[in-house]
Amino acid sequence: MNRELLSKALCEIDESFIAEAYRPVPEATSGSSERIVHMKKKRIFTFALAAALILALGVTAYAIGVSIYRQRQEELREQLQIDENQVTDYVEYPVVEEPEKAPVEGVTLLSSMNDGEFQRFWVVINGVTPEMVARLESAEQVDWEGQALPANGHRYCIIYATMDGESFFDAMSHFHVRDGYDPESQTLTTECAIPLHELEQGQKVALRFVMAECIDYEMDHSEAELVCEFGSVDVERTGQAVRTVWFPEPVSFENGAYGKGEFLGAEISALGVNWILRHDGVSQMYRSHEFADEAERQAYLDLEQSWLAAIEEVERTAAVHFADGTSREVGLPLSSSKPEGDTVKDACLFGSGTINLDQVVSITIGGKTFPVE
Amino acid sequence: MEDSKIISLFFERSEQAIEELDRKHGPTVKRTAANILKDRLDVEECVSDTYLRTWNSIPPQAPNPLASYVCRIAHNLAIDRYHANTAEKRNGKYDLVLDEIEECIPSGMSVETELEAKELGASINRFLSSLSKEDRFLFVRRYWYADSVRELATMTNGSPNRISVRLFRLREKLRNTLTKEGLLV
Repeated sequence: MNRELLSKALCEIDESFIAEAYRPVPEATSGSSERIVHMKKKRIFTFALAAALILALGVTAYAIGVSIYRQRQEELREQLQIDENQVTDYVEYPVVEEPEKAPVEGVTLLSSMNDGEFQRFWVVINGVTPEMVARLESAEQVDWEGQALPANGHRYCIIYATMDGESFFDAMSHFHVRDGYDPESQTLTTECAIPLHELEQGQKVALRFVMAECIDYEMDHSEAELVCEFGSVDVERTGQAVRTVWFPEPVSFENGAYGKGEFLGAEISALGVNWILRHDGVSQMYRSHEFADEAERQAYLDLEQSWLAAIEEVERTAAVHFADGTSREVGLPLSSSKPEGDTVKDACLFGSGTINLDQVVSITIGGKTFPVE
Repeated sequence: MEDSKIISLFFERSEQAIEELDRKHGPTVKRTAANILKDRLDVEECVSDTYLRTWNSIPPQAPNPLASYVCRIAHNLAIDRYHANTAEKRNGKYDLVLDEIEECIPSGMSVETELEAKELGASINRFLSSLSKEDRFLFVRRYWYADSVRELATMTNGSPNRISVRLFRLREKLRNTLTKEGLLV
């Protein structure tokens, strides 16, 4: 194989795909941002990072006579196909309707939905400048000495929500910064997801939205330096509409290192599917990512890789089927819950929008189809 | 400065165009080159050549978006320089990218001529069209921008292993696509 020609084939990748995946790297930051806290290690389980929905948020210009908040609510409602799919557990919050009275600072809560694993919130964050967005869309600074970069040599910025000053929930994936940003109003419309085990029923918590510069790759934000604080909103858990299926015959998967495990069932919501997995090795696999040394870390990562390959081999064939004969593929998961005993839930989203939960008649996984009663 | 204003400066043949281009897109251009080239001097020369080539091509061209246009120039120049370099100067990071893509080429296929490279490129584009936006992002960032798995994990808030598995699946899917299309056999 001629590697030079192989790389030339990659050079043929279409300009539109290059532009779509383009993420700017900011100029080197100057000065030092205020170092406010050595934030505590996040309590939540490292795997419990919610995959965000693929939505083209906040891309339209101002509509006349309607506040930006009301307009964003309408856009979200349309993009999530709430009315079309008769989604009953999507909650919209009251917002200022008149543009002249709409607040131009702070954070405004638009809507919320409980998907069975995460409480998802959509918010508008005011005061996000184009310079901030450029920093958000970058993942690192290049080391111009051409040396291999140490893990702590990379910097990136992220906007996230904090609760009680110690737990961190990523407000967005970098995928969505550009889609959700409106430079005219300097607002960012985005999604924030809290694992349900962190938000008890009836508990009201204040989510504080900040932008910070982080140093490491491990996403624990333990050395985060505050760049900006945008404001906070009070949130609580909402009701959920989930259809649970327990498979009469569990679907098995095999992990080379730990042996066989089973998919016991699924929780289907309008947004996605949570697979319920059982395996003796669950507590070892879904553990905290704190390691005694590099050897332990590497051994764990090898096992994790093998584990993920085994379960995703089964999950990637999954689909839900509707009464009208159509089907929808279930995407691969990017997040998992905190394990309970020997079971854990692997959360998948449909990717964009919702489904009509009432119309689901069956679900397929691992080549087996089960009726949804 | 808006990209359209930078383009206007190029059309006016104002040297400020290069300054503004460097200010706005310079870090990304440098990173694109640095992901492929190991040597700092090579990277700096590649960036200078990119600006020269941009200067020579605008006008008549007026690319929109400008960012990916200059990144493509930097990428292609870096690839040429990468292959021209001696083995000891090669970049392990980009070697890995090529190793992974080489795995996708089914046995029996070969890429030995420019024409075959173009055909393979066209197949890869058809494959990319069939992917979700998220998967396409991962593929292009990994195999065109040459970002590491850890960098992708940071960008997407996913774990490195999740990203590795997704990329493995994408390579498998590409391999199946190429096999079905039966090109280059």
